[in-house]
Amino acid sequence: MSTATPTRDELRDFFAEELELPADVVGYEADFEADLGVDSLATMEILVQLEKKYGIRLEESEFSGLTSVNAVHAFLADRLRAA
Amino acid sequence: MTRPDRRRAVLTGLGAVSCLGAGVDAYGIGLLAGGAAPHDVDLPHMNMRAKRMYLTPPSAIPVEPVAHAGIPLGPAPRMAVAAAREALADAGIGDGEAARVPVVMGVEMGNASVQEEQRASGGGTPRWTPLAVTAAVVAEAVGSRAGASGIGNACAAGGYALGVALDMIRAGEADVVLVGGAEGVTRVGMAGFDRIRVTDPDRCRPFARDRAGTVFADGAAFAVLESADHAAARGAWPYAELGAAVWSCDSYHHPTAPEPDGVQLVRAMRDALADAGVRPDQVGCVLPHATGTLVNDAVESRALRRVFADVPDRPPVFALKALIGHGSGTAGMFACLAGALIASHGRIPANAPVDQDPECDVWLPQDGPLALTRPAVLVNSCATGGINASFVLSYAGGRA
Amino acid sequence: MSAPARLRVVGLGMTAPGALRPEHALELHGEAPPDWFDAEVLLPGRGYRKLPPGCRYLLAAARSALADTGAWFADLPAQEKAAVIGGNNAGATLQDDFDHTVIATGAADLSPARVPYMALSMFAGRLAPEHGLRAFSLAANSPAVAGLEALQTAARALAAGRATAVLAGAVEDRPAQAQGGGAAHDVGAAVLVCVSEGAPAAGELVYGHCSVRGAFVGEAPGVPEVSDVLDPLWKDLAAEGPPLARIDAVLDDSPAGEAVAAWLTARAGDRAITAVARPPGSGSLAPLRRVVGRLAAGPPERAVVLAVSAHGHVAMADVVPSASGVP
Repeated sequence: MSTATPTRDELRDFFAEELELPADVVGYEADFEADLGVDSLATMEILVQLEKKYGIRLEESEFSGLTSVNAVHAFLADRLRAA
Repeated sequence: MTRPDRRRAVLTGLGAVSCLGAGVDAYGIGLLAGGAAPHDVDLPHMNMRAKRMYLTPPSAIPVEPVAHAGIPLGPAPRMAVAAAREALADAGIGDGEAARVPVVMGVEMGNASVQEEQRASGGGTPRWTPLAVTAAVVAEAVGSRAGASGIGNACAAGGYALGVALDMIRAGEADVVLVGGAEGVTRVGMAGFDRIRVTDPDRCRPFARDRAGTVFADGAAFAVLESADHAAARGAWPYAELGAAVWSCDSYHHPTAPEPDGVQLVRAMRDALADAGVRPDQVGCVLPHATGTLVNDAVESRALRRVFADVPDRPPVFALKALIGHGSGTAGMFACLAGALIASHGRIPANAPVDQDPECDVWLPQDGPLALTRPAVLVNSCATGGINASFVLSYAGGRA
Repeated sequence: MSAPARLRVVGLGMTAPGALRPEHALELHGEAPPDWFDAEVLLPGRGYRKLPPGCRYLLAAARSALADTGAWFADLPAQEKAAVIGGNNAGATLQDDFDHTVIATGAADLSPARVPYMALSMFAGRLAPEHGLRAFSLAANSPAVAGLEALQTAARALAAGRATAVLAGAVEDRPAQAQGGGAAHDVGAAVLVCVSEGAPAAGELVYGHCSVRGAFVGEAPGVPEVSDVLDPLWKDLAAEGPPLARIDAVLDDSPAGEAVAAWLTARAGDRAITAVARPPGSGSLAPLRRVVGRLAAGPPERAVVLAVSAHGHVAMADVVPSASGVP
């Protein structure tokens, strides 16, 4: 289990791989659903993998705000720093 | 719109096993009395957050048949047999007359409980147990030799089974069709919906401000659908006419959420009314799909507003699932039975008390049963994957 | 009762181990090699990787079938296009894995994106956004006969005016351990693009025509009982159309299967019978493969494809390939 916060680029590349999209399309600010057409279950699926990867558990209320690489990065940084 | 060339179809028999007890009488009386409450499911390994269902009392679950073609049968197929027999008897179709009656069932998880028991006990390798064996079990029990079809359209299966049965009657393929649904308690089904956060750990409260998801139910519901001429010729009394059962699908990119504008649901409702020859102002009651999930109820409310936009006094809505939960593959048939009882008895049960969400702008009368003042009942039956069905039941005027 | 609705088949797709083209559909295969489905060839594109295997087979078969229809299908209004897909085991392994996970650790460890695929309807439903289908999507799930029932339901729905074109098919994956299925014998997907018999020509290619009759013989019938049920269907079927040349029967060794086999032997006369053994745990694809194969690979003779389940279902498809006398 790694608790080091991933860099934004690492996170973007992870999402790009999971979403089968080029990294520059995923970018940092693109909204998963509105801009990339990713449905909420697919997003949840990826966040679940991040839960496992970084040994954290997301509350139900936290899923809805995590809609871009930047948002996920900020959340992880905050959570892993607190851990 | 009248279509003299087309065979009309009426419901002449009903049968049910539900959280309100055994029999369609218990079902009808239970709805007028305010419905049931959910309880924790008593299965091993219920490792999930939302553990409740609207459960059929054990005393209402028959012990037979115990097996079919060498595979053991769980409660769902057994309840199906009881409800199917009740519907045939109610329609006055005796033993020996069912050979020419095809069985059409909405069934998704079917005999899943048998698989789950084997997994939980770590049992050995059994004979292959397909899930959707239920229609065959029913056909065997009632002596049908005209076919047994399972339709796995998830929570819209009832609306699709009714549509297939109606097509069979209209095409002259059959004079009588036994149509139904039956689902049991399944751990894996509950766990899946729990995982994607669409089930409420407490109770099912469609259109409520604080609704938090649906709560499932087990049970079986059957109806005898019959050509109106055939029913009239043998003097059978119809509960209601099934004027239309129309389908549509959202073709929306999200696997579970409905299309936000409900365009295809609106189309299903409008086409169903048109096909039945019923104007929106002739609808005296709507039984919505109304599962209690955040998204479904808001989308369906908007869709209903559009369908009834030109009607000065919009029809009352009866949110059935608040009283008996969500029967998944059986839900559409439970709604069909409730709609048929409303159309024939002219009485709409009261809705469960609800602190209504202003986002769900529908009329939900809660102060006792209402009289049905217009002849038609519109019913929606939808499912994840953007699957919609809408059907119309109308007062059939006593003897057909 | 009236004769069943007939449909015209204007596209065929077949995706199964050893049968990646419709004309190979009749070729029997053994155990599927693990790498038989080459997604880069059969289903190129984004967004498929995480779908359950059966769903990918189905998408590949549909894509291949629609390649036969050119732009005609794509240009139809969405509300005139539909799918009816049969299956018994497509989601079986998923449910099995899920339940084991729930037992071992809990629902919180289930894959959210795969949850909808516990329902067979999601497999048919996934075709809707893929090909813009808004008339309906319907899943047939009767043991053994669901694939043929998909054709029957499609024909009925087309005749009722519910759609102009229907993707009718079947999808199967390995049966799960808890189903006692053992080895997989019926894996893959087949899709037929169907239009109503009377509809205007829907493109240049017409593989042939098809109608399906269903019956129920019970779990333990004798031959006389089976004759009572199936003789009227058989007479009805043989009453018109070109001569019936061959019979493909997909049967198991259950009492129902053996009784139907005995009945068939008595009725077949000098027609060629191909008996396809249905091992325990098989799904509903094998009979539909016979239909696809008869339409695609000839010989151009009228054939009946018959399927029987151990539970008592019987379905009988009347298959008339294009070159055998019916325009």
